[in-house]
Amino acid sequence: MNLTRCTVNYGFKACFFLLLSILISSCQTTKPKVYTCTLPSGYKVESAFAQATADLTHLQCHYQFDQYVGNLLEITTSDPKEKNKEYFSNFLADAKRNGVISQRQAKQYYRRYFSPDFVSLGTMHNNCTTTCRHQVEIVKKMKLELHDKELGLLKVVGDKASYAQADQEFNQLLILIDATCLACQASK
Amino acid sequence: MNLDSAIVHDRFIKLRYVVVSTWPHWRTIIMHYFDIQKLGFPHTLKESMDWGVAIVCCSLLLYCPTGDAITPRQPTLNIFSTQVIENIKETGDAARILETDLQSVIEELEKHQELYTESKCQGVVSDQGCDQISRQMASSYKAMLDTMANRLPEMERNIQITRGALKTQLAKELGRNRTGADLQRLLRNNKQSISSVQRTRVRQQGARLSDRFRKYFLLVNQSNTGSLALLGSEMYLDMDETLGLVQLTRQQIHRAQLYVDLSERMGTITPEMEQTVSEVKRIIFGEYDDDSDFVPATLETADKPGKFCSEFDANC
Repeated sequence: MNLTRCTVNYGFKACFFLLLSILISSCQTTKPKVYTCTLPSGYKVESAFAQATADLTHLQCHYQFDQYVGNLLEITTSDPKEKNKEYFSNFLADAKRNGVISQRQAKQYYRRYFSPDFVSLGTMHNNCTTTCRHQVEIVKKMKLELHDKELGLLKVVGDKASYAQADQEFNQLLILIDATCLACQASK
Repeated sequence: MNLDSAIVHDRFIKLRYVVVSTWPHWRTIIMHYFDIQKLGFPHTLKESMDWGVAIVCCSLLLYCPTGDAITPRQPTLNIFSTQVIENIKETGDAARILETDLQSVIEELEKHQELYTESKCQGVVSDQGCDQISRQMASSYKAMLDTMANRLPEMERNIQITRGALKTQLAKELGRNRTGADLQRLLRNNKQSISSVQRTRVRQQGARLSDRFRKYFLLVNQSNTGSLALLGSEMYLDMDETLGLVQLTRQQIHRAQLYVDLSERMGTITPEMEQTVSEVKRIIFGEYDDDSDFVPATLETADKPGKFCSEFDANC
């Protein structure tokens, strides 16, 4: 009787340890699935945008958003056309929908590359208190933005008129800022 | 834009905004009117009410329908007040008087200088003819200095007043009442096309002082000026620069006068004197060498801008 009970106990124990060891070993071998983000490359514009949009649905790729934009810009320069602007607009809309960027960021990205408007100019406070206090930095930022517009409007979209407008307005804005800041300074 | 028409336009805009923003009240009044029509008022009262309603409806039709009136507008840009325009005119007049006075003196001085060189008087001692030319040169030079010394303070004062008035308006209108992004919007306010922006540059360094102010006056008054903010800014910067040059010239004139008073003999025009003469000509008659500080648009604008309109584009 005792012998039988003992055998049963041992059997249970053995089964229990066997199951436990199987569980432990299975946990050790199954690694969490990691998505590999692949930055778009090549010359196929449509597939590059599709790939980038698909990648950006994965959380792991979100922090590489700037690189995705950079690569897409690079790819689209191989075939400058108006349609590229639409691709970027849709790409940014998808990114916004997937929570990669905010509405405000999407607007800023788009306008920085594809609109003659300068996003480097402040919209919150008056010129005497902000623009003039950081005049050098703002002008520097505007210069960089003009380079981005050259890339976006001219090389990606091939929109010479809009780029010429941006270039013209850049020079005029420098005059406006110079005069305004001089006047603000003199009025203190 | 002509200033008078600009004022009228602004008033229309304000009126339109008032009418649109008070539209619910107008609607209530009209609804009451129709209710009142059903009541038994005397005929004359009804007739005057009809007139009133007709006027209200006409004003609504005239100023109401456009969508942009619904959104509150920015305060109207007021850079060129009547006083500023008057100052510009006065400064131009003062510059013209100065130029006229100087023109003859400088011509005379140059004539004597030419004669002195042609007669090979350089380095000749005790020649009666050369001495006479020298004295004439000295007297012309002194006359030029005196004219400048008399006229420049008035000129400087005029420029200072105009610049001061512009400064006040710019600091208020562009500095305190507007943001950076507003500045760009102002550039586009009066813009019909890109080509209209590529207008003649206001800051003309190769022009006579009086011509510059005459041009300012014309630009402020003409209708296709482009952005008034840009025009005001260019004028202000130009005046600031001119004022600095005028002040420098005054100092130089003062030094030259001292030098002339101290010199016993001023037969030849020294390099310093020549420099003074060229400085005067540069300021007053606009004889500048370099005009390369303005970066032109790098591209032809023959192509039309693209038609695609994104949800992220503020201009769509």
